[in-house]
Amino acid sequence: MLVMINIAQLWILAATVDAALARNYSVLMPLVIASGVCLIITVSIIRWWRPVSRRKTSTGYIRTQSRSNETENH
Amino acid sequence: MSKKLSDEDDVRTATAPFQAEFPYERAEEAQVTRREFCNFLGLTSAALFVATGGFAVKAVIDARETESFSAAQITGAEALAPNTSLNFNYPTERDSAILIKTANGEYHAYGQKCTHLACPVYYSQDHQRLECPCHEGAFDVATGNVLYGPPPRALDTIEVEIRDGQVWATGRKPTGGEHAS
Repeated sequence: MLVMINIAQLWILAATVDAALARNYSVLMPLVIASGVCLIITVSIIRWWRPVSRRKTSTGYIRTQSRSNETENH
Repeated sequence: MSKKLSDEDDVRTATAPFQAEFPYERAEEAQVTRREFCNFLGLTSAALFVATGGFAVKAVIDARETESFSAAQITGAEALAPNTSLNFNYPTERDSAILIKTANGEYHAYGQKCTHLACPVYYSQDHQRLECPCHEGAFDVATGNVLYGPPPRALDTIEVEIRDGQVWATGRKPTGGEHAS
């Protein structure tokens, strides 16, 4: 999902450059707003989305699991 | 039975006991976590947003700066033979332009940057049109409109006047869309 949003933002950036070169100024603001909405969605996903199976952060969960496994092996 | 010590060829599977005292865990160091990957995508998203806003702001600022033009004489234009062209710079030294004197004696001037990818256009005497050598686009010499090829819009028009037998450039009119207000 995040990768898809990044690709969409890349497309918006390309459209902005094209509109700027074409002096089509009326579409610049909607493009900037669209890119901003994409950024807000991205930040929202990163900040609040968690996998259903995870109770902590994914990083902490993985490291805790791997260390406990190593202890068991030793 | 002791484990084999890792060497430079085997850094990803370092398992010796003393290596546990080193603060970096090589397996984890090599791993990109989901969170790190998401953070990277977030930074990319922010960078793209900043770039989009920057381009928009710069375009508007540039448009306001180039709204007023001062007239400038095009040196050597009066001696131009029919069906030939002359390169000059207008409105600034960085803006290359091309003046064409048609076969019937009319003067037309345009910004020299092709509207496709900014290659310099030239006047083709054989075909009596402006051509872009990069991607084979062509423009009408009388209007600057696209005749064929990939350019998405007409060339910028430079307004010319004849004053006391001298040719003057008096303004530049973008033909790609509306002006910034």
